[in-house]
Amino acid sequence: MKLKAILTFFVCTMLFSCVEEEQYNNSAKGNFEALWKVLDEHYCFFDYKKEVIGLDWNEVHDKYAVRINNNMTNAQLFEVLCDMLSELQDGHVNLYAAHDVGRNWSWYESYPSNFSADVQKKYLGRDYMIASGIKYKVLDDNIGYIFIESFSDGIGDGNLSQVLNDLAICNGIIVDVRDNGGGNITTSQKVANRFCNEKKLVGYICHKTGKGHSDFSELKPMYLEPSDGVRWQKKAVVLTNRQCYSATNSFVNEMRYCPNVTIVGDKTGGGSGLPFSSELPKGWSVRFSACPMFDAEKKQIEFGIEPDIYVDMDSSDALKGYDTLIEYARKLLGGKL
Amino acid sequence: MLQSKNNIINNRKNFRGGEHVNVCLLLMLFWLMPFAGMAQDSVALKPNKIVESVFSAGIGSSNVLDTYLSPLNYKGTELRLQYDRFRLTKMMGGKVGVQYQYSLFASNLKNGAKTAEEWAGLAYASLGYFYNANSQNVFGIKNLSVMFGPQAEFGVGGVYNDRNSNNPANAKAYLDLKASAIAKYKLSIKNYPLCLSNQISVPLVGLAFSPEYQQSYYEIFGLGYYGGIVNPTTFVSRPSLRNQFSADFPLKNSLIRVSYLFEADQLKVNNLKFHSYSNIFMVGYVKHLFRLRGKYKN
Repeated sequence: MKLKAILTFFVCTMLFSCVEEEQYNNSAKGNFEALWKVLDEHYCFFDYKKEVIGLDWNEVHDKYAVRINNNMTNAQLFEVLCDMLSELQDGHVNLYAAHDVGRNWSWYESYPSNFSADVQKKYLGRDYMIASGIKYKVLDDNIGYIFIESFSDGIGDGNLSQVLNDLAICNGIIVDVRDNGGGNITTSQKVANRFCNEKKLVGYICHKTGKGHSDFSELKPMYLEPSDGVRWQKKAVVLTNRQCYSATNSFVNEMRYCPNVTIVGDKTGGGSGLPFSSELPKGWSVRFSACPMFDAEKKQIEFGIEPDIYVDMDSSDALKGYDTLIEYARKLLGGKL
Repeated sequence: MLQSKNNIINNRKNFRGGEHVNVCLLLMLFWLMPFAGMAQDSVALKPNKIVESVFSAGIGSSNVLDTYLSPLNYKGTELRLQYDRFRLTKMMGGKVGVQYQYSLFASNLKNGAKTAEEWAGLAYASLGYFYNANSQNVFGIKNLSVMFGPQAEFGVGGVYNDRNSNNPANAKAYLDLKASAIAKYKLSIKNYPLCLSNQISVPLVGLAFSPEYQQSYYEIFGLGYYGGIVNPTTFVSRPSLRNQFSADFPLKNSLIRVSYLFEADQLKVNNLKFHSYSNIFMVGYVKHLFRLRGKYKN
């Protein structure tokens, strides 16, 4: 009898244990509910944004649910869903459809750009060097200038050693990451590792452990590890603007803990949540912040990092072909300030 | 010993001759001998000297859900290779058989809207020991035999989604201790021998790799935070099942196995859900080998 009972229990467990996820239908309402739920269960900044910008995700549901009906076109649905996502004020939150990408770029569009590619060309000239996407040259006053426009492409250790070797004669270097929207966090760390001489705590990371807004793992420390290759020992200035986002935001955070490094320019754009992806029944893809990162004091850097010295681009300088931020950095490194 | 050698030689000659009757005889022999205790005085015909190996290939449908990657079910086609090897041992008076099973499969899947693709693949190896308690008349049915026993299985694989950002793939690795049973029923239709079999196996306890709910692989492998990724499992958190129904029959000079395999591989750990449902039709080539070591040692 015991054996029969055990077998019955076992068979019942097997038969009624299909591992399934709730599937929404492919109507406008189904897609709306699916999107709201994806964010509700996975987005990592609800608590922080409730505190800072008063975000209430349940209220957001009610606010936008009334705009949904099953007769609306794809374009209309997309517009409402993007409006809902914009409530999160997060550059890492996007909705991808075949016809458009939903985004909230207010983190830089609402601010001065503080960067002009045309003006920058006058500094780079035509004889600059390129090492794995890094553009660099020695300016007239013996200040090295490095421009990293993205961390998306891999930068090799050999490239970094070569660049720093070539600039070793300089009195200081400018690392310009303006308009760098991010990329691989490991690449940005690899560059930052060239500016520290000892293992350095630069921040923390955690991840969600469940569907609740407050279900997080404990904070795990993140360190800079000094590179075995060439490391920069003189002064350095990092130039920033509002378009420094995501991995570049992390890079700026790491660099500010390095000795001899000064952050100059505007506040960064932020974006401290490592983004994950999911999707809707309609096949549209959604990206969202999933794993929050913090600075070494365990403070949020989702809305950006303040520079050590605020400097804005002067439009009259730009008209004359001068980049106010580069000129400021040259003076700082040349000991003229 | 001389008689034994002659037996082997005669058997080999018969196989080379490729007569239909010999293939049939072998098919019958393999399933008769283990349980009837025949030919105990012959090395060549001793049950533990016969090895059955089957190489099968199959195609079918697959349905995969991995909530680390997507909340949607992905469906598509699966290709599968499988190698089975079975022989009886001397354990418990020759009533215990050992089975080795190796399988490799891959599937290409799409979401319902056909806007994204996933690739899933897995390789596993299992070792099982099967005990035959009865002769061939289980439940009063003539020629039906049932074997059951434990099985250990180790598998590695993963699922890749072609458009995700920092969660593009999820690795799979597990070690399962399973309960498995094999039922075999042999019959002949107008003197044409046929062996039907069904093997079912379910994991009872084990270990499974899984990232935590929203843990990035950067955190695991980039920063080295491995806590929580190896999870103990039971049949509650891993309610999985593999069932393979097969028919062995002779075709010209060969033994052929056709089978239908249903597999429900499921896992619920770290608030993540995974399932992979496969329905596969397979065709295999069966070989019966005589296992000889040294100078035809007993």
